[in-house]
Amino acid sequence: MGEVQPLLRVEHLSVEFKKFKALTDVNLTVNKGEVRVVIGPNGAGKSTLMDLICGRTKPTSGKVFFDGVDITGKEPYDISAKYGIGRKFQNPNIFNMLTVYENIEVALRGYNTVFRALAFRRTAEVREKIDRVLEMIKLSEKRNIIASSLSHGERQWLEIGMVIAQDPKLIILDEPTAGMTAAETYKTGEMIKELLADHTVMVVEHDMDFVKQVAQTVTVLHHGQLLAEGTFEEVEKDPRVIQVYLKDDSDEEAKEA
Amino acid sequence: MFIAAQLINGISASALLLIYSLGVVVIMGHMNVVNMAHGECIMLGAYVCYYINTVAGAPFFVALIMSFVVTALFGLLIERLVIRKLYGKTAETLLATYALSLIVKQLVNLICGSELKYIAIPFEGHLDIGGVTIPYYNIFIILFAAVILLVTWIIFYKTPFGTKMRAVTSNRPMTECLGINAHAVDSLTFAFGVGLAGLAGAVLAPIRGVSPFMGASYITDSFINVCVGGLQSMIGTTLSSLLIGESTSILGGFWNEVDAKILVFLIVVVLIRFRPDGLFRKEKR
Amino acid sequence: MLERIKKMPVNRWVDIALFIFLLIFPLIFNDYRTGFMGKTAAYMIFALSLDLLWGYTGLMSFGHAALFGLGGYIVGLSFTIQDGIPSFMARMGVEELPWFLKILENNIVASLLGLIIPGAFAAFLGYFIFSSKVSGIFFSLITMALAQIFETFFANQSAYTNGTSGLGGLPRSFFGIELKVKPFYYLTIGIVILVYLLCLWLTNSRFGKVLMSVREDERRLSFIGYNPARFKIAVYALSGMLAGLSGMLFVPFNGMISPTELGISLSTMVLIWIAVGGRGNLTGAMLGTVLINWLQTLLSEYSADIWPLVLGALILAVIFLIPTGIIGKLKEIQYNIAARKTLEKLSAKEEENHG
Repeated sequence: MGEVQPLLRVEHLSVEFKKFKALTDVNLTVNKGEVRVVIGPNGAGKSTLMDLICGRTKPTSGKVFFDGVDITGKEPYDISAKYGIGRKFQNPNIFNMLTVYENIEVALRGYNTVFRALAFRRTAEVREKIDRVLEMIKLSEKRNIIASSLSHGERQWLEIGMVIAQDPKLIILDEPTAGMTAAETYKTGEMIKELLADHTVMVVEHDMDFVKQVAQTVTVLHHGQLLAEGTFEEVEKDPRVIQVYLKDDSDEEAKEA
Repeated sequence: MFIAAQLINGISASALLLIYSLGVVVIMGHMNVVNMAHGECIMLGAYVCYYINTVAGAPFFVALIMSFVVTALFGLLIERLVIRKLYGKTAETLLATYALSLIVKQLVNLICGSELKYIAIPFEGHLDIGGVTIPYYNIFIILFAAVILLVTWIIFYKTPFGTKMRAVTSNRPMTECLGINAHAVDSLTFAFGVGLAGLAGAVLAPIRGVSPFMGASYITDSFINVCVGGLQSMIGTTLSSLLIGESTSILGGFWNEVDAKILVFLIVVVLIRFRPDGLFRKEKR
Repeated sequence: MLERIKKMPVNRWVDIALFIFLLIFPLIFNDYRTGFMGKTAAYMIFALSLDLLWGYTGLMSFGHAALFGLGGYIVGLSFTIQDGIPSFMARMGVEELPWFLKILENNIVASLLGLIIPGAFAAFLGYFIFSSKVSGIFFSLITMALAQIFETFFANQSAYTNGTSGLGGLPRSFFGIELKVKPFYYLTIGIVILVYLLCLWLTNSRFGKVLMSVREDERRLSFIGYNPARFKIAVYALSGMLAGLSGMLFVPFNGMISPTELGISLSTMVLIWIAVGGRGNLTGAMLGTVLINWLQTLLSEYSADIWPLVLGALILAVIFLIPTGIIGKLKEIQYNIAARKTLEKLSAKEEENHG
């Protein structure tokens, strides 16, 4: 094992929406090459944390450092293009009117300014790269299909492909298997495992089997605060975590009763 | 003295602007439909007023009411035939309502002729206050603006229909679950907005004359005015009418009126850029 | 090569047919008709410029004629002042040309300004609008207001623009050389083809794909590292330049320019041409322009009264029957056939694998 280098550092991050504290004083560090899973009950602030990291929401206080640079409050396009954070959203977020191939092409890293976009050529290198991505997300044969006619699962894969094409230093995956059939979930799991091999990844996920499978470190959020952090086994045994999850279960049981 | 006269002129100009913008608040603000035929709805109202008041010789008030009724029916018709199928499609709505405006304008032109028609001003004479003359009709316009503003506001915010209407425009799927007939509410709301445009036409007719092509001059003014007012807000639109009417009138007093209008328009465009939600906060619900 | 021709989108065939039609047009019709078609060719560039903005990027400008008219007025004024102070200016008491007209005396400078001023104005306006949260319908309303302002302003500056009657008696002049109808016509068609090729290259490039992504989901685009505002400003500026160019070509054919060429009605007409032909594929914009203008002259010769009714009915028919326009519909059909073939092939393959 080489030296552990921090890639993402979140310091005392808080955000309020009209006096509702969505996130309070969250501290967290993700190291290079790490696979971090963020879990927590609904409304715990998982997606808000992701929104803050990639610039969709601006924090009320606190800082986000990426690769040693302060990226707090930067525009989403800078965070993506300049600093290299790629994000897959919860709902498939692709360009419906473009073909599969064009979707990947637009996402390809390094041609993001007006002039570079004008000077862009489909060189052999570019084509090869797109082919590789298409191969990985298993949509090679559907490259000329317009994205709107893909199935739900295929759309999720296409978005994963777009994130890969961005060649980011950090990949954020927001519930990548949500709404998929069992077969699709399995295929997606394979794809993500392939990704994990050579990327730093943050995943929000509910599926505990999946978490157990991939996570090196698990972060548990609850009511916008950091509740626990550690390996899956440690977190699983943490009485506070058990209480949060059990309480939620008992709440639901109470409602059902 | 000169300023006082301009101020008073400004108030009646503002009132007029408010009268022909109110329908836009309903249709563009609440229903999210940009009705490019708004000017032609005004024109229809003016023609109804002309035929009932000048040709048939009925009193002006009867003509006013009839303009509202007839144009509202026209609104009901086009909502059923065209607008209903295009909710949520901005570009299509713009083009379809423009097509309607072409058709209505030309039909009126063919049937009624293209020449400008005149209606006698219903309240002759003027008030003299310390050297400033105010035509009675201007006073009528100001009062009339206040009355229709109040009536519209009451319908929207104090009646069960208004509540339903605002419910439909703010969350359509939800209201359908609650058993409100959203289609009927849409039709009536649109008809009401068009009816307001008709009323505006009737009020404008005695001072501006009546012609098939009169509508074009009101459309941009009213759209921009409603944008400044914050789209949905009647109070906002009233304030922005005052702002635009008064500033055009006062600047026009020192300068020429067209240049004043250009300048005010430019300022307003800049305002919209910096406050796209409108200059004035939305009224409390 | 044969494979490539077979795979060519259906609208490219229409483009080629359209250009052949334009090229042989003067051989079939007289000079009067050719002059009309030349005017239409200028409008085609105008429609292409707006197609980039509206069809590809989704920015529905309701005031694009302001930029068209700006280009038109610049060359119009340049032509007008070639023989000293024109009579209408003299009547209004203008004794000496002001500096902003003086520079237009030079044909080359005027032609350049006819491109640069509309382009720069669009860039400025784009920067002004797109750097804020203003979007969608507000863009349409602001541009609509601007067209109105331009129309009023030019009508009101009688001393320099001859007011509502506009600048008349303008020559068919190309950099100071007066040309007959046919040479000027072919010159214009040449420019149309060049502009078309430019637009084709742009929209097929990555730049074009980004524009289409702006149309679809600006926010998504910013998360994959693009600043949508920059792209919108760039396309608006380019579109403004092309609109100015079309205005400059329109004036020599039309012989005059008046404030209506800057206003809302022409701005709306060009949207209609594009909507009827089909937006976002270049061909639709060009075809729609030719079809509607041709129909308009034919019907107007028959009866001037019937045209607005026919046009209104046509717009409604297109919106309700073929919402993607003529070319949009053709492309849909072609795509559906191709997509079905691909999917059939895929499922056949899968069966083989399973069997």
